Amino acid sequence: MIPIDDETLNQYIDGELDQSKLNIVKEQLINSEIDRKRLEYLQKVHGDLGQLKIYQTSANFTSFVMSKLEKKLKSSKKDKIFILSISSVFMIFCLAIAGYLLFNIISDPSSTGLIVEKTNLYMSILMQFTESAKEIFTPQNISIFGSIISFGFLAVAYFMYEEHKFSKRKIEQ
Amino acid sequence: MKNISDLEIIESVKKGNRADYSILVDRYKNKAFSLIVRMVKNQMDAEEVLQDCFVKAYNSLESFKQQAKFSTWFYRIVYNTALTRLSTKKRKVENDMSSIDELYFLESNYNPETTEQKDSSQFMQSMIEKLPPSYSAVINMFYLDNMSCEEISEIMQTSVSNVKVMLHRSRILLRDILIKNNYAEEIL
Repeated sequence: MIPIDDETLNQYIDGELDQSKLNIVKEQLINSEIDRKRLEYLQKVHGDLGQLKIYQTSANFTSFVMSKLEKKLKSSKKDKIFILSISSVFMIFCLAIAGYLLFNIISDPSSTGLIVEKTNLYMSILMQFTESAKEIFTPQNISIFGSIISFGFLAVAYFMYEEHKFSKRKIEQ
Repeated sequence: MKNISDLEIIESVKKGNRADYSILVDRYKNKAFSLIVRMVKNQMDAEEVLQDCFVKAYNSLESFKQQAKFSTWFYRIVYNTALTRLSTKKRKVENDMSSIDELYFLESNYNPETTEQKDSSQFMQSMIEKLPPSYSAVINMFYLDNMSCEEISEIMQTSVSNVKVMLHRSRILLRDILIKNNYAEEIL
């Protein structure tokens, strides 16, 4: 008689055997004491596993989690306010410049010609700059610049990551 | 409070009742803690990991799709965070489908002479604590949380058959250890 394999015994315990296989296993269990014992050992393990111990967290765990959440939310609110105030200052600054320019144009109609003249001047400077940039940014130079900049980014990213880890550890302590 | 479903609590938290989140924390903390303790094998670390899990879950509540069960979604966070903690601590993380030979290090490690005599149930509890993380996670979720193999496979992001293999291997291993350490007579 071939002994029942462990996989089949496990399936028997889990009730996963189909009727025909179940009948074969039941019959073999009646006839083989070794198989019966193997099944009983496995059932004992199955039964004991059903009584696994539940570990308890510390008594103030929930309140600790909630206060941690509260702190995080407060700090993210502070971050939002900081970003908002910086962008507001920037916007006000831009609006002030735009307002000043508009005021000059409206109050002095003759300045329109001057503005056009100045715009042409800036455009020609820009064109000259583009021309010289074309000479500088040849395919070979671009790859060199790219490598240097990438290296720089990598170095900065590494130091930022290290700094982030360090400050996180400090906060956790 | 006990009658409120997880989804109702989540809805309430999303509406701004932040304090209701503590009901979820109370509901899941001990079972999730047991899972993490069995994975990281250290209660101090486990509590830290669990705190992180609850914070992560809170921050991701918006992305929680209500078609899934909260417990499955939350346990996935727990399982992955515990694995991350294990890997950052450079502890050995067992491959889900590692060879059965690797599991048998438990047998060779156990020395009955240096261990105080326990009954078979106590002995087994102590052996479960020594199982590799993924195996003890499967045992914990299957027996303590009464999860199906399908749910466990979803949490561990592996196939159902892998989960069954891990479950069966663990049982066979524990049975063989019991027999080898002369607990067979007690069992019968």
